Amino acid sequence: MMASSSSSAALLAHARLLPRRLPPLSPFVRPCSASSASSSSTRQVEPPNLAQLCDKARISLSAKEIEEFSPQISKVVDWFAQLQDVDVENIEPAIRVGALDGKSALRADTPVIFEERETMIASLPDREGPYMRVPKILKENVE
Amino acid sequence: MASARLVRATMVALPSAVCVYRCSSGSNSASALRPAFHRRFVAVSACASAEGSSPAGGFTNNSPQPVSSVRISRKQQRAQSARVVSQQSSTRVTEENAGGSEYEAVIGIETHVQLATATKAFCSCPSQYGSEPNANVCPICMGLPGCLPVLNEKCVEFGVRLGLALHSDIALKSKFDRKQYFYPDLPKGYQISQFDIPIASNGFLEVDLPVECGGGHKRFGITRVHMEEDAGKLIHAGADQLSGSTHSQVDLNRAGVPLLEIVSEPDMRTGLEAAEYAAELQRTVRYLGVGNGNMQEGSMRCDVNISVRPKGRAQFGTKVEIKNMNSFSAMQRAIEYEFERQVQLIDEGEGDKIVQETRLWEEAAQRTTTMRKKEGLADYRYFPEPDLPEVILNEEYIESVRATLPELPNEKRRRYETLGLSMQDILVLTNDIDVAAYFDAVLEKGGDVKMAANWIMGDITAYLKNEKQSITELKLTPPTLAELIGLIKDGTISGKIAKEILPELLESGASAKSIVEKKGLLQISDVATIEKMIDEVLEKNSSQLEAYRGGKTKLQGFFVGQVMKASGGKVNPALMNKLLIEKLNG
Repeated sequence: MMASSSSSAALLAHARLLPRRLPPLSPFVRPCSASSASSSSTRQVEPPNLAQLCDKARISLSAKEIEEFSPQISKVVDWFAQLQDVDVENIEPAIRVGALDGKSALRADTPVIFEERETMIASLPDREGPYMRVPKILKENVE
Repeated sequence: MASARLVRATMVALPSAVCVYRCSSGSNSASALRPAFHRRFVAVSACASAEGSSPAGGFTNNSPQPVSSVRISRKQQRAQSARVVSQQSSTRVTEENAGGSEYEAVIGIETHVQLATATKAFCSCPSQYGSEPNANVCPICMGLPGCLPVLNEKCVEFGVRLGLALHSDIALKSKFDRKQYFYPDLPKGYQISQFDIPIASNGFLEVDLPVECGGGHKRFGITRVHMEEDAGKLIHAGADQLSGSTHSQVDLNRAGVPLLEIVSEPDMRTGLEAAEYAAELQRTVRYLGVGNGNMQEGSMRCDVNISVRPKGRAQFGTKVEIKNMNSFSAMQRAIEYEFERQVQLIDEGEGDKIVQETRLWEEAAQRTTTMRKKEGLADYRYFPEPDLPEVILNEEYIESVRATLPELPNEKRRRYETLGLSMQDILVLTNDIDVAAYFDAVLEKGGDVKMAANWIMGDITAYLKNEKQSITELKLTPPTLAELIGLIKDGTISGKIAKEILPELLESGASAKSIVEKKGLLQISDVATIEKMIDEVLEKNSSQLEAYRGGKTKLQGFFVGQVMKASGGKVNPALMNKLLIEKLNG
């Protein structure tokens, strides 16, 4: 669970995937005008480091595949980077797209047993008694 | 968690140190330090246990916390804490007189509290503790594709409730985010949490430190409170810990159970303060009814961030995180140990060996050990949870929740102070909300404050402990105790008789008056009757009477005893004494 690190590191990696002017952190914190001005002048967004990204997502890609995918992903990022040009001055930040009325989005605290539980458990790839069985956990995965 | 980062990012000027440890420059080797360590733990722990409030709960052999891969026998832990509790030392060893440099610890705490909801955070599966493994699961909490989470309204209510109790600002708009990591107890591959906009922020918690540890009133800042879901539980087969296990078993009953994470400001300076902060948080959670705060069951888990710096320096030292403490006294001892370890490294010129890492508290060995170093900063790739709409609250809702807040521990303590109780008594009475409620009920029925406090903290507590009962199960109701106290106060029965009939009151739950009458135990306050008893005693003991009148006035006690005995302990002692002296001297 909690490995800590500085917020900036998590943000940095996050930001690498997103156009720079989309606020990845708090929408309440507006980028200061100086930095937004400088980023909007160059509409460039750093492409992700695909090898690192694969590592984080536990996906293995061959060197050839990385070479193949990299330009495609860069294209997608560039496409989204067009958002950088949108003027968001004086617009109230939206936390989420499509806000709902708070009440209607909540559920009453009434327990319901899922009826198909048996079927779901039976479909587990490996079981041991009532438990799900998983292979030996490697040390580097320790959270 | 994320919050840890935010804490660090938002650190500002801190209140001046409240307690500075002095480190002996003479103890330069680990072995030289060891005995001092031991003494200190004992002294400090005795103090923590005096105030300790974690109840004995059910134990499991399973890790209550997915992050704790090192487990030691619970039996060992219990044995250990029993030993600690048995220590009655009340002085704190701080090596005050030792020379050397002065350091202080800067401590912040992240606490996870499981919420007492009937269902999980984002699905309707029951969330109770202790079900058959994987009994309470559905596609949502198992992370199957194609299903959508829906937020439990109780989570929001409890978040607001705790936020208000901690005097925080409640966010009218907050949202959920995904925190990504891979571990077998996390079926979705991400935890739904709140990252940059928590439901509550910028609060504080007020604590009264135990009198036997020097006392004092402290206010500790709360950075934030946010809602999130718990992970499942892992059992490592073939070993009692991860290393050496051949495979693991997963129980997802706990996956998706709602949590509130409470992040403190780095305002604590000693292990005691940290333990008392956690104890007060537990009390608050219990008073509010948002959770049971049971540390043994893992319903409340504290992670401590600690760094050391020379006293007076504004800049923080390297932060180390400690996990795996399952009691307040363990928390305190872990902090004391870690502080000494870091100070020693600094004193030996090896301060660079203090690295940002997570260390585990080993209860059996009474030390912290490296769990993992932070090589390459963790990257959870937070992003807004697209499956959940934002949480929108209005002032009206917040005020409706505020209206249901009970009297909180600190408010209760302040009120009891005005009743004239000592802080020591106040801390005992307010530690458990049920005990405090019982006490309040006795007062409401007119029971004398000090007498009610003494009966509850003395005989009744002893009985409950002996019978392994909780005060809510007690047959002796508050009105009956108030009645008993009334009988003593108006002289109907003596305190001695009250103690004699207490067992029957505790067992039967009958009214005090009925037992007193049934047994003919009413105190004898009739002058003629008492005089008659005294005359008989004087007659039987004529030689002693002669000796008394001859100057051996010490014999008065003898006569008191004889009259008391003759009356079966029922005579009004003050009245009898007065009459006896008249007779002896007449």
